[in-house]
Amino acid sequence: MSTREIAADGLWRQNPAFVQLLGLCPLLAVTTTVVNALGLALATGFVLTGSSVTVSALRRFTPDHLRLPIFVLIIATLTTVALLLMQAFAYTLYARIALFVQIIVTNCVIFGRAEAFASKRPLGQALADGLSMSAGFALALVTLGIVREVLGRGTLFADLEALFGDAARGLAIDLPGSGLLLAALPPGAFIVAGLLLALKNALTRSNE
Amino acid sequence: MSDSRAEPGMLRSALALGAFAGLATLVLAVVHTVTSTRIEVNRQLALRQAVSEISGALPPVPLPRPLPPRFLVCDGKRPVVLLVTGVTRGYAGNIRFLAAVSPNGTVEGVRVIEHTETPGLGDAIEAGKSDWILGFAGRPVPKGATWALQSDGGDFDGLTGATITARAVVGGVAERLSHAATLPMTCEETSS
Repeated sequence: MSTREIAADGLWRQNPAFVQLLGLCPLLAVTTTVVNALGLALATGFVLTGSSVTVSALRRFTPDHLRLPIFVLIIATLTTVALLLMQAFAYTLYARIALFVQIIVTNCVIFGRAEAFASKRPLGQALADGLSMSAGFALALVTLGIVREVLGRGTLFADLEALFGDAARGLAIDLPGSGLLLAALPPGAFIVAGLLLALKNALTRSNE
Repeated sequence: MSDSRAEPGMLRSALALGAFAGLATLVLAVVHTVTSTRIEVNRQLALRQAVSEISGALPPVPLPRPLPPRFLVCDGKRPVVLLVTGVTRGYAGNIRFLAAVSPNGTVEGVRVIEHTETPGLGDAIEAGKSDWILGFAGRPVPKGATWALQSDGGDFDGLTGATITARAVVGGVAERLSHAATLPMTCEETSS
């Protein structure tokens, strides 16, 4: 597969959240604000790319009948590394999404790509796929985060300094009204995600 | 009965898994060692920030982490502020709070640090969601569990749609402070 095809798959055609419908738990739980969604997108991307690269690099040393426990071991190790790095370098953000960084290990996107792609492909392609799927998941997270923050809290980009430092403080926008509580709660997350899914399907269909 | 031509034997599999586990352990050990100092600094900073929100400026003594239920912050032999943590049962689970009391017996502030109350209703006990929790500041420590909501005959504001939550926090904080904050506040001489 060419890099362009891999990228198109990860971002759109096989978008992990909106097409493969994987990783929905963190997708719905963490996207109450854009900064939370971005933080989780970065952490998940780190683990997903790292895992795909590692699985691909070690594929000739991985006995076939042991590959599932070994994939889990690799993903769990990378999740703990991500957790430690966040606590060391982005503590405020960590305090907001700690639980969801810990359960990145259960995100089916990562295990799915390790099994379906990285374990059978050379390093370069595995890297490209890891990055593309991460970007696609990030796209889903941030889109959902923007909609839910604007609708549910009436702000946009609030608390961005937790991720980007004090320079980002000025980017927060406060919109009139304090938001629709439903959008900030799990049922609202399901509804918004469902609508975005329908939108994506409509866009895909109209291109065929 | 052992069949050495069967698919990889248990020993080989165990060795392979062991090798991967060893590699993973090595990676984790390295990352942990490299980050542990920074993480401890960050945790201490977060604790100090949370505490100084209610107590004002803190002397540069390290705070024990986790905070014990009753901790007196001392500057040498001078008591600066008493930190008290407690738990009360709210509407939807435990509510954990932190209170700061000055040496002259005035409550400097209370903050809720953990809870599972209803978003949009009970979560108004959070400082970031409403000013309700600021109503504790400036009051003298109660002599018994004598604090109550206005609707129960006391003088604390209630919370619309979250009476149980408000009542639990007011009662729980009063109960805890009436025990913990009425003990004498003396700083121990630190041995040099």
